[in-house]
Amino acid sequence: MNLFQQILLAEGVRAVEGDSPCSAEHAEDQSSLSFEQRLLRRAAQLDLRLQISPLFAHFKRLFTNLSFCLCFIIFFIGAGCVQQLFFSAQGTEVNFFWAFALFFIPNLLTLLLWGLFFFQGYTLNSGWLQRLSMFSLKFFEKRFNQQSQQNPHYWTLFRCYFQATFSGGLGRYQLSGLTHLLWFSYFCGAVLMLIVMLATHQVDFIWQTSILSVQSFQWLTESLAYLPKLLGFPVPTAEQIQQSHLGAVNLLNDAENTRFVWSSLLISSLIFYGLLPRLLLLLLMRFLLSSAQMKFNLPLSSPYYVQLRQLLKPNVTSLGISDPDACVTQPAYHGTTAKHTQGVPEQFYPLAVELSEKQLIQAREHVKQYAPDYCDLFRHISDYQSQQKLLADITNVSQQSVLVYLSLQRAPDRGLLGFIKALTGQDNKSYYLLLINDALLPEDKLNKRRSDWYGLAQQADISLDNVIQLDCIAGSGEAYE
Amino acid sequence: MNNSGLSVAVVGHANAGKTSLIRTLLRDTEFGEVADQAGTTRHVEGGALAIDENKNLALFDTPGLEDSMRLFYLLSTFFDGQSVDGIERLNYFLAHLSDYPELQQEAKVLRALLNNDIIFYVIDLREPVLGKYRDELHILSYAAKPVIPVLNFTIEGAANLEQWKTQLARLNFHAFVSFDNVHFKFADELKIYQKMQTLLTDKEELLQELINQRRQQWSELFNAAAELAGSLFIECASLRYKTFNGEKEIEQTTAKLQQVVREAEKKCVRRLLKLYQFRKDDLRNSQLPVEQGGWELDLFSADNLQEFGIKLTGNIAKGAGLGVAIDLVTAGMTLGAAAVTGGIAGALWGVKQHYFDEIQAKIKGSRYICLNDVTLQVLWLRQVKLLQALQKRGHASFAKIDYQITEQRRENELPENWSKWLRKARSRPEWSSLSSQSIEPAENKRLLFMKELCQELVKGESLL
Ligand SMILES: Nc1nc2c(ncn2[C@@H]2O[C@H](COP(=O)(O)OP(=O)(O)OP(=O)(O)O)[C@@H](O)[C@H]2O)c(=O)[nH]1
Ligand SMILES: [Mg+2]
Repeated sequence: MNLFQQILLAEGVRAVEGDSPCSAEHAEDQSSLSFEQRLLRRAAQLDLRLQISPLFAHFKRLFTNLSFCLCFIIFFIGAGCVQQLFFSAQGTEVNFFWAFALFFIPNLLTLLLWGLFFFQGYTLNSGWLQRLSMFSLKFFEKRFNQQSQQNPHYWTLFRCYFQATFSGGLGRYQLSGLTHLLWFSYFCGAVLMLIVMLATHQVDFIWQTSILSVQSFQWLTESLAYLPKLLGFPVPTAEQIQQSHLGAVNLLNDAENTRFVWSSLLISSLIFYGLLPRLLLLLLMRFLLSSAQMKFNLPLSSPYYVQLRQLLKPNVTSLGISDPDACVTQPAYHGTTAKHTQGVPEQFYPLAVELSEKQLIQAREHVKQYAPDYCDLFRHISDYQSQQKLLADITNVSQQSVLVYLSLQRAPDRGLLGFIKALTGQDNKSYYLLLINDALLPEDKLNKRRSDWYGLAQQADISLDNVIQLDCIAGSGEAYE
Repeated sequence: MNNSGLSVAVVGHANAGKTSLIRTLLRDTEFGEVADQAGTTRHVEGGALAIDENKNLALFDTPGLEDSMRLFYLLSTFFDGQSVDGIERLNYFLAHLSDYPELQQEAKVLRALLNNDIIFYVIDLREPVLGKYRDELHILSYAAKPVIPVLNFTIEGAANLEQWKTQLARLNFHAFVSFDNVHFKFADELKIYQKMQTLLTDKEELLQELINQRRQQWSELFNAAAELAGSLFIECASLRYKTFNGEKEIEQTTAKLQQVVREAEKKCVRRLLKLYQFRKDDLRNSQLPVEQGGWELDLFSADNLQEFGIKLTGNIAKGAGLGVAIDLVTAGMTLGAAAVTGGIAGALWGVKQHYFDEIQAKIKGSRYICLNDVTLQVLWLRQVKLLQALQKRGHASFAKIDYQITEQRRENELPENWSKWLRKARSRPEWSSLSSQSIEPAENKRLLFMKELCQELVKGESLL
């Protein structure tokens, strides 16, 4: 299977899968393959189950067979035309230019038409040619292939295959190739028949005109004969041309020779101006087709393939856990999360821990209101030195209650817990935690936070009743945007 | 940790959003564990972003630093006040770790610092600059590795930005970036890699490759998403059902139409979520409010006639038109036939004023039902909103995606060519795979139309 067929197969899989790819079934190690390679592998694997490639081979054969049928028919049409011409010719005289023009001019016209489609195809046909070809193929298939319903995806794949091969550059070359092939077989039929006819019939070639001058015919014949002459075919000389003019006096002794050279000219000009160009164009189309097939790409930016890429070659891999946790974690707090706003003691020693500036101001106001005597002693603990200093000083504080201002929105961490534990472990003062709520967090998160703080209080042996929330919403309306 | 690629240690205070950062960068909603609580992550865990076949950017999540003040104090007490390099102190601490069992988690972070090429220090901007954060930064500087402070919670903590900047500068960290895990901006992600480029000059090319690749993937993703949304629009706008003219039949067909459109939208949304690698339940459930009654597009509506593009004028057609139309109706006209005989319908339009009622009465045939304009507008605007939401959503987000359209005029801006598109789609019932089986989704004109839609969807978003 060549690359093009593999790619086509992938498109077939896409047609069957529809919108989104199901996960891949790959057994072997693919770590070294690129996404495209994996994609093609996957298609080949799925093909075993979906039986796409036999169908595609069948479609290809269908197209080829149909082309050859047409060729065959056209071949006989070409032969028939020649025979018709020679039969209908009065007597044994054949008008040379009429015979040539009859074959050549339709060819020329269709060639021009083809050129127009070939170079301006996009603006001209917008798919109807493609649809027409697909329609006729479908017609044949429905008519002559009864097993077509066996594969449940038959028509999906049919559409997929011919859409891929009949659209864009591929379709252009494919259909162009077909037209050239048909004309080629037409000329083959015509030339063969011509040879047979001329070999078995005696015809005199003449030419006639009503409005053109004799000179122009002379010139026309000579230019027509130029190429055959160059290649060694016998062609009529100027004299012979003169003599073949209708009504010219025929020198009998030369008649045989004249017949021969005119026949040779007719055959060779059909070959050189009809058959050969079509053959060359046919070969060119074949070449273009195969190079277009080489360049055929999957639409990798379509949603299907983007999704498939995520599946087949995810650009994220897990590296696993490299430094596992050995120690036992603290059990999470599962008690009440009800909020207390009352219970601030009568007199207390105030202490702020890790507050923002705004919270500090709020805390100061609170101190001023509830423990005005301790305003000057109020301190903010926010680094190691101040922690150590406080731990040294706390034993000298006479006040029995200590109120610690904290920020409710902060998740309490092990460092803070250690510090509070160190405080509560020092002597038997009673500690209160006052949680300042800035209203920066939504309500559900606040509940979660409060329970985190309760957990801390529990571990630091502080009664949960002593954890009090201070809502500073009204005073700080401008706090958050 | 890997010699061909690049490895990053993501460190920071507990609950600063380290795991979230990695989730967002990896686009992986399943990475690690995220909770609004200190000490969620308990071990070092890695994820890698492939750069090419055998190089990748490895990101290592670490437990949060919780007791940096004590750790820093300890580090400074080693070697009896002699001036010794920070890295020696870290190594000394790790060698004597058994003396400090309570600092196990911190030790993991220190090991990660020493093992990786570069360090992301995640900062919760809502926090004031406290002593413990300064100590963390000091400890980081001991590792003698390039550090990029990543400022998280940029929206909630905007007020503290200046304070943090000054503090970082004072401690000699200048290459910080703002990166919010919830309000994701792709440009900010690129900025992280660009900062890494400036700090790691020998990995500049590798990082450039990564940047290019990420950019390409991002635009590819967006285009694919736009294609999905555009395709949904075409499917729905060109959908029409034929029904008999009875009240009951129309009602039934309308219900079917609504159901089919709803399903199609749901499916498209699900595919979009999958494409962007979000969870299925990230979505706030909302149904497309298909309006009651749908919208009837029968052969005689002005819209339909215009799509044929034929406006016959003059009196010659009038008399003939009447007779032929009734013939057609009795002959059981199909849409294909209608398109062919568009001229006749056009002729009929010309006489509508005079004979409409008679014709209407005589018609026992069928009519076509399709989505009305308002419903299609809602469908379109919702897709636009959803696409924008997906573009700006980080993979650490827990909030539901909301793509409900409100009445607000500001965001409900329809594209310029709206009515042209509508006409175009409605005149092409064969473009919709929702009604018939034999569609041609790859047809040229449909592809062109799709491209136009995608351009409109992608228009507003610059990828940088
Ligand atoms: N609004 C907002 N929330 C965020 C952002 N980043 C993280 N979060 C939230 O912050 C909380 C903590 O996030 P994590 O990623 O678990 O933080 P962490 O640093 O890994 O925490 P530990 O593992 O405990 O150290 C979670 O609830 C996240 O949803 C952000 O940028 N904006
Ligand atoms: Mg974490």
